[in-house]
Amino acid sequence: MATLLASFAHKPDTLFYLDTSAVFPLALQAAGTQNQLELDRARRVSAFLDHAKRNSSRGLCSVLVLEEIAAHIRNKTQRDALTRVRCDKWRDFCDTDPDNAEAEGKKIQATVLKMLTHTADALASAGITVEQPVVINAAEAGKKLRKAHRDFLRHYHAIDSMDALHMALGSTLGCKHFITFDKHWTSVTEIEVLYN
Amino acid sequence: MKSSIGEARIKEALRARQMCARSSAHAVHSHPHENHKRRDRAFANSRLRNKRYPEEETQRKLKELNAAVANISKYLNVQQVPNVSFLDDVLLALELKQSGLPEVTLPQEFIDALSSDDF
Repeated sequence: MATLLASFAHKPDTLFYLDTSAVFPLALQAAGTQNQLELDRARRVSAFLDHAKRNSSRGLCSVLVLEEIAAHIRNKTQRDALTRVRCDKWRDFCDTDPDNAEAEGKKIQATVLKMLTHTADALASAGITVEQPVVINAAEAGKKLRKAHRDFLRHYHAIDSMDALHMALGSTLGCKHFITFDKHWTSVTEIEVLYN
Repeated sequence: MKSSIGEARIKEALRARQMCARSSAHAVHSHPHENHKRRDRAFANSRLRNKRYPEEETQRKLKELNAAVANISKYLNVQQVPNVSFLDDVLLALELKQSGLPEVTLPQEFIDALSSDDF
Protein backbone atom coordinates (compact mmCIF):
# COMPACT_ATOMS: atom_id res chain seq x y z
CA MET A 1 0.00 0.00 0.00
CA ALA A 2 1.31 3.45 -0.90
CA THR A 3 0.44 6.80 0.65
CA LEU A 4 1.71 10.30 -0.05
CA LEU A 5 3.95 11.54 2.75
CA ALA A 6 1.85 14.68 3.20
CA SER A 7 -1.48 12.84 3.51
CA PHE A 8 -0.38 10.16 5.98
CA ALA A 9 -2.55 9.99 9.10
CA HIS A 10 -0.13 9.61 12.02
CA LYS A 11 -0.77 6.95 14.64
CA PRO A 12 1.08 6.72 17.95
CA ASP A 13 4.15 4.50 18.48
CA THR A 14 4.90 3.84 14.83
CA LEU A 15 8.35 2.91 13.52
CA PHE A 16 9.30 4.48 10.18
CA TYR A 17 12.14 2.98 8.16
CA LEU A 18 13.91 5.51 5.89
CA ASP A 19 15.68 4.25 2.78
CA THR A 20 18.73 6.00 1.32
CA SER A 21 16.67 8.26 -0.96
CA ALA A 22 14.88 9.61 2.13
CA VAL A 23 18.05 10.10 4.22
CA PHE A 24 20.22 11.58 1.46
CA PRO A 25 18.34 14.93 1.17
CA LEU A 26 18.93 15.44 4.91
CA ALA A 27 22.64 14.68 4.43
CA LEU A 28 22.83 17.09 1.48
CA GLN A 29 21.07 19.78 3.52
CA ALA A 30 23.67 19.28 6.27
CA ALA A 31 26.42 19.54 3.62
CA GLY A 32 25.00 22.89 2.46
CA THR A 33 23.42 22.00 -0.87
CA GLN A 34 21.70 24.70 -2.92
CA ASN A 35 19.74 22.09 -4.89
CA GLN A 36 16.12 23.20 -4.35
CA LEU A 37 14.60 19.77 -5.00
CA GLU A 38 16.80 18.19 -2.32
CA LEU A 39 16.16 21.05 0.12
CA ASP A 40 12.43 20.66 -0.43
CA ARG A 41 12.65 16.89 0.16
CA ALA A 42 14.71 17.43 3.31
CA ARG A 43 12.10 19.89 4.63
CA ARG A 44 9.29 17.40 3.96
CA VAL A 45 11.08 14.52 5.68
CA SER A 46 12.00 16.71 8.67
CA ALA A 47 8.42 17.99 9.00
CA PHE A 48 7.09 14.44 8.78
CA LEU A 49 9.49 13.19 11.47
CA ASP A 50 8.67 16.14 13.73
CA HIS A 51 4.99 15.22 13.42
CA ALA A 52 5.86 11.57 14.11
CA LYS A 53 7.81 12.50 17.25
CA ARG A 54 4.80 14.35 18.62
CA ASN A 55 2.91 11.03 18.27
CA SER A 56 5.61 9.07 20.16
CA SER A 57 6.77 7.58 16.85
CA ARG A 58 10.30 7.58 15.46
CA GLY A 59 12.39 7.07 12.35
CA LEU A 60 15.17 4.56 11.85
CA CYS A 61 17.41 3.29 9.09
CA SER A 62 20.05 0.61 8.73
CA VAL A 63 23.80 0.77 8.13
CA LEU A 64 22.97 -0.06 4.52
CA VAL A 65 22.14 3.65 4.06
CA LEU A 66 25.68 4.63 5.08
CA GLU A 67 27.17 1.95 2.84
CA GLU A 68 25.14 3.14 -0.16
CA ILE A 69 26.09 6.78 0.37
CA ALA A 70 29.77 5.85 0.82
CA ALA A 71 29.77 3.74 -2.35
CA HIS A 72 27.98 6.46 -4.37
CA ILE A 73 30.40 9.21 -3.33
CA ARG A 74 33.42 6.94 -3.85
CA ASN A 75 32.30 5.96 -7.37
CA LYS A 76 31.50 9.53 -8.35
CA THR A 77 34.76 11.03 -7.07
CA GLN A 78 36.75 8.18 -8.61
CA ARG A 79 35.08 8.74 -12.00
CA ASP A 80 35.79 12.49 -11.77
CA ALA A 81 39.47 11.80 -10.95
CA LEU A 82 39.81 9.36 -13.86
CA THR A 83 38.24 11.90 -16.25
CA ARG A 84 40.76 14.53 -15.09
CA VAL A 85 43.76 12.26 -15.73
CA ARG A 86 42.19 10.75 -18.88
CA CYS A 87 42.29 7.15 -17.73
CA ASP A 88 39.59 4.51 -18.18
CA LYS A 89 40.37 2.35 -15.17
CA TRP A 90 41.71 3.03 -11.70
CA ARG A 91 44.20 0.18 -12.08
CA ASP A 92 45.64 1.84 -15.21
CA PHE A 93 45.98 5.11 -13.28
CA CYS A 94 47.83 3.29 -10.45
CA ASP A 95 50.18 1.62 -12.95
CA THR A 96 50.99 4.73 -14.95
CA ASP A 97 51.19 7.31 -12.15
CA PRO A 98 51.32 5.54 -8.74
CA ASP A 99 52.23 8.63 -6.64
CA ASN A 100 49.42 10.74 -8.07
CA ALA A 101 47.01 7.80 -7.81
CA GLU A 102 47.83 7.37 -4.12
CA ALA A 103 47.29 11.08 -3.43
CA GLU A 104 43.97 11.01 -5.35
CA GLY A 105 42.96 7.85 -3.46
CA LYS A 106 43.46 9.64 -0.13
CA LYS A 107 41.44 12.63 -1.35
CA ILE A 108 38.63 10.31 -2.42
CA GLN A 109 38.63 8.57 0.96
CA ALA A 110 38.56 11.94 2.74
CA THR A 111 35.62 13.06 0.57
CA VAL A 112 33.69 9.88 1.38
CA LEU A 113 34.32 10.35 5.10
CA LYS A 114 33.31 14.01 4.94
CA MET A 115 29.98 13.09 3.34
CA LEU A 116 29.43 10.31 5.89
CA THR A 117 30.08 12.79 8.68
CA HIS A 118 27.42 15.12 7.20
CA THR A 119 25.09 12.10 7.03
CA ALA A 120 25.75 11.14 10.66
CA ASP A 121 25.13 14.77 11.72
CA ALA A 122 21.87 14.87 9.75
CA LEU A 123 20.69 11.56 11.24
CA ALA A 124 21.45 12.74 14.77
CA SER A 125 19.75 16.08 14.21
CA ALA A 126 16.60 14.43 12.77
CA GLY A 127 16.51 11.87 15.60
CA ILE A 128 16.89 8.94 13.18
CA THR A 129 18.68 5.94 14.68
CA VAL A 130 20.87 3.54 12.72
CA GLU A 131 19.96 0.00 13.68
CA GLN A 132 20.82 -3.56 12.81
CA PRO A 133 18.83 -6.67 13.57
CA VAL A 134 20.45 -8.21 16.66
CA VAL A 135 19.59 -11.88 16.78
CA ILE A 136 20.40 -14.90 18.89
CA ASN A 137 20.53 -17.44 16.08
CA ALA A 138 22.65 -15.69 13.47
CA ALA A 139 22.62 -18.41 10.84
CA GLU A 140 18.85 -18.81 11.03
CA ALA A 141 18.28 -15.04 10.91
CA GLY A 142 20.66 -14.68 7.96
CA LYS A 143 18.71 -17.35 6.14
CA LYS A 144 15.40 -15.58 6.86
CA LEU A 145 16.83 -12.23 5.72
CA ARG A 146 18.09 -13.70 2.46
CA LYS A 147 14.75 -15.44 1.88
CA ALA A 148 12.82 -12.19 2.49
CA HIS A 149 15.20 -10.40 0.11
CA ARG A 150 14.72 -13.00 -2.63
CA ASP A 151 10.93 -12.97 -2.15
CA PHE A 152 10.75 -9.18 -2.60
CA LEU A 153 12.91 -9.43 -5.74
CA ARG A 154 10.90 -12.32 -7.14
CA HIS A 155 7.55 -10.60 -6.68
CA TYR A 156 8.47 -7.08 -7.77
CA HIS A 157 10.41 -6.59 -10.98
CA ALA A 158 10.46 -2.79 -10.66
CA ILE A 159 12.59 -2.75 -7.51
CA ASP A 160 16.34 -3.37 -7.50
CA SER A 161 18.41 -5.55 -5.18
CA MET A 162 19.33 -2.77 -2.73
CA ASP A 163 15.68 -1.67 -2.44
CA ALA A 164 14.65 -5.25 -1.67
CA LEU A 165 17.37 -5.45 0.97
CA HIS A 166 16.11 -2.25 2.61
CA MET A 167 12.62 -3.76 2.73
CA ALA A 168 13.90 -7.06 4.16
CA LEU A 169 16.07 -5.30 6.78
CA GLY A 170 13.31 -2.85 7.74
CA SER A 171 10.81 -5.67 8.13
CA THR A 172 13.31 -7.59 10.30
CA LEU A 173 13.64 -4.47 12.46
CA GLY A 174 9.86 -4.47 12.99
CA CYS A 175 8.93 -1.65 10.59
CA LYS A 176 5.76 -1.69 8.53
CA HIS A 177 6.06 1.88 7.26
CA PHE A 178 8.83 2.83 4.81
CA ILE A 179 9.68 6.38 3.73
CA THR A 180 11.21 6.73 0.26
CA PHE A 181 11.38 9.07 -2.74
CA ASP A 182 11.64 6.10 -5.10
CA LYS A 183 8.28 5.70 -6.82
CA HIS A 184 9.12 2.11 -7.84
CA TRP A 185 8.42 1.13 -4.23
CA THR A 186 4.73 2.01 -4.60
CA SER A 187 4.04 -1.33 -6.29
CA VAL A 188 5.01 -3.26 -3.13
CA THR A 189 1.94 -4.33 -1.16
CA GLU A 190 3.52 -6.14 1.85
CA ILE A 191 4.67 -2.87 3.39
CA GLU A 192 3.16 0.60 3.72
CA VAL A 193 5.14 2.91 1.43
CA LEU A 194 5.20 6.64 2.19
CA TYR A 195 6.58 8.53 -0.80
CA ASN A 196 6.90 11.84 -2.65
CA MET B 1 38.27 -8.82 19.99
CA LYS B 2 38.43 -5.06 19.56
CA SER B 3 36.59 -3.18 22.29
CA SER B 4 34.07 -0.65 21.03
CA ILE B 5 31.20 1.56 22.13
CA GLY B 6 28.76 -1.04 20.80
CA GLU B 7 30.25 -3.77 22.96
CA ALA B 8 30.12 -1.53 26.04
CA ARG B 9 26.42 -1.02 25.37
CA ILE B 10 25.86 -4.76 25.06
CA LYS B 11 27.69 -5.43 28.32
CA GLU B 12 25.55 -2.79 30.00
CA ALA B 13 22.37 -4.37 28.57
CA LEU B 14 23.48 -7.79 29.82
CA ARG B 15 24.13 -6.41 33.29
CA ALA B 16 20.62 -4.88 33.29
CA ARG B 17 19.17 -8.21 32.19
CA GLN B 18 21.04 -9.98 34.97
CA MET B 19 19.56 -7.59 37.52
CA CYS B 20 16.07 -8.22 36.10
CA ALA B 21 16.61 -11.97 36.38
CA ARG B 22 17.63 -11.57 40.03
CA SER B 23 14.66 -9.38 40.90
CA SER B 24 12.16 -11.70 39.17
CA ALA B 25 13.63 -14.68 41.04
CA HIS B 26 13.25 -12.66 44.24
CA ALA B 27 9.60 -11.87 43.36
CA VAL B 28 8.87 -15.57 42.92
CA HIS B 29 10.42 -16.33 46.32
CA SER B 30 8.54 -13.61 48.11
CA HIS B 31 5.09 -14.55 46.77
CA PRO B 32 3.32 -16.67 49.44
CA HIS B 33 1.02 -18.56 47.02
CA GLU B 34 3.68 -19.48 44.50
CA ASN B 35 4.02 -23.02 43.37
CA HIS B 36 7.03 -24.68 45.04
CA LYS B 37 8.28 -26.38 41.91
CA ARG B 38 8.17 -23.16 39.94
CA ARG B 39 9.91 -21.35 42.78
CA ASP B 40 12.67 -23.93 42.97
CA ARG B 41 13.12 -23.93 39.21
CA ALA B 42 13.30 -20.13 39.09
CA PHE B 43 15.81 -20.11 41.92
CA ALA B 44 17.92 -22.80 40.26
CA ASN B 45 17.78 -20.93 36.94
CA SER B 46 18.75 -17.64 38.54
CA ARG B 47 21.69 -19.32 40.25
CA LEU B 48 22.71 -20.88 36.95
CA ARG B 49 22.43 -17.53 35.20
CA ASN B 50 24.39 -15.78 37.91
CA LYS B 51 27.06 -18.44 37.67
CA ARG B 52 27.32 -18.04 33.89
CA TYR B 53 27.26 -14.24 33.99
CA PRO B 54 29.06 -11.98 33.52
CA GLU B 55 32.09 -13.12 31.58
CA GLU B 56 31.13 -16.38 29.91
CA GLU B 57 27.64 -15.21 28.97
CA THR B 58 28.88 -11.82 27.79
CA GLN B 59 31.48 -13.45 25.59
CA ARG B 60 28.88 -15.82 24.18
CA LYS B 61 26.45 -12.97 23.41
CA LEU B 62 29.15 -10.86 21.81
CA LYS B 63 30.24 -13.82 19.71
CA GLU B 64 26.66 -14.34 18.55
CA LEU B 65 26.20 -10.64 17.85
CA ASN B 66 29.43 -10.45 15.88
CA ALA B 67 28.44 -13.56 13.95
CA ALA B 68 25.09 -11.95 13.10
CA VAL B 69 26.69 -8.70 11.97
CA ALA B 70 29.43 -10.56 10.07
CA ASN B 71 26.73 -12.60 8.39
CA ILE B 72 24.94 -9.46 7.21
CA SER B 73 28.25 -7.82 6.26
CA LYS B 74 29.22 -10.88 4.23
CA TYR B 75 25.85 -10.86 2.55
CA LEU B 76 26.17 -7.18 1.73
CA ASN B 77 29.79 -7.63 0.71
CA VAL B 78 30.82 -4.99 3.24
CA GLN B 79 34.59 -4.92 3.39
CA GLN B 80 35.42 -1.51 4.82
CA VAL B 81 33.72 -1.61 8.22
CA PRO B 82 33.19 -5.30 8.96
CA ASN B 83 32.00 -5.20 12.57
CA VAL B 84 29.50 -2.38 12.45
CA SER B 85 26.55 -2.82 14.75
CA PHE B 86 25.76 0.74 15.88
CA LEU B 87 26.24 4.24 14.53
CA ASP B 88 28.85 4.81 17.27
CA ASP B 89 30.89 1.99 15.79
CA VAL B 90 30.67 3.57 12.36
CA LEU B 91 31.82 6.90 13.72
CA LEU B 92 34.61 5.26 15.68
CA ALA B 93 35.74 3.45 12.56
CA LEU B 94 35.59 6.73 10.66
CA GLU B 95 37.73 8.48 13.25
CA LEU B 96 40.31 5.70 13.02
CA LYS B 97 40.27 5.80 9.25
CA GLN B 98 40.56 9.57 9.12
CA SER B 99 44.11 9.61 10.50
CA GLY B 100 46.58 10.48 7.72
CA LEU B 101 43.93 11.74 5.33
CA PRO B 102 43.96 15.28 3.93
CA GLU B 103 41.39 17.81 5.18
CA VAL B 104 38.93 18.36 2.34
CA THR B 105 36.17 20.87 1.72
CA LEU B 106 33.47 19.60 -0.56
CA PRO B 107 33.10 22.00 -3.52
CA GLN B 108 29.64 23.60 -3.77
CA GLU B 109 29.12 22.38 -7.34
CA PHE B 110 29.97 18.83 -6.23
CA ILE B 111 27.33 18.92 -3.46
CA ASP B 112 24.72 20.59 -5.70
CA ALA B 113 25.17 17.87 -8.34
CA LEU B 114 24.33 15.08 -5.87
CA SER B 115 20.75 13.81 -5.99
CA SER B 116 18.61 11.45 -3.96
CA ASP B 117 17.21 10.18 -7.28
CA ASP B 118 20.45 8.20 -7.63
CA PHE B 119 19.27 5.77 -4.94
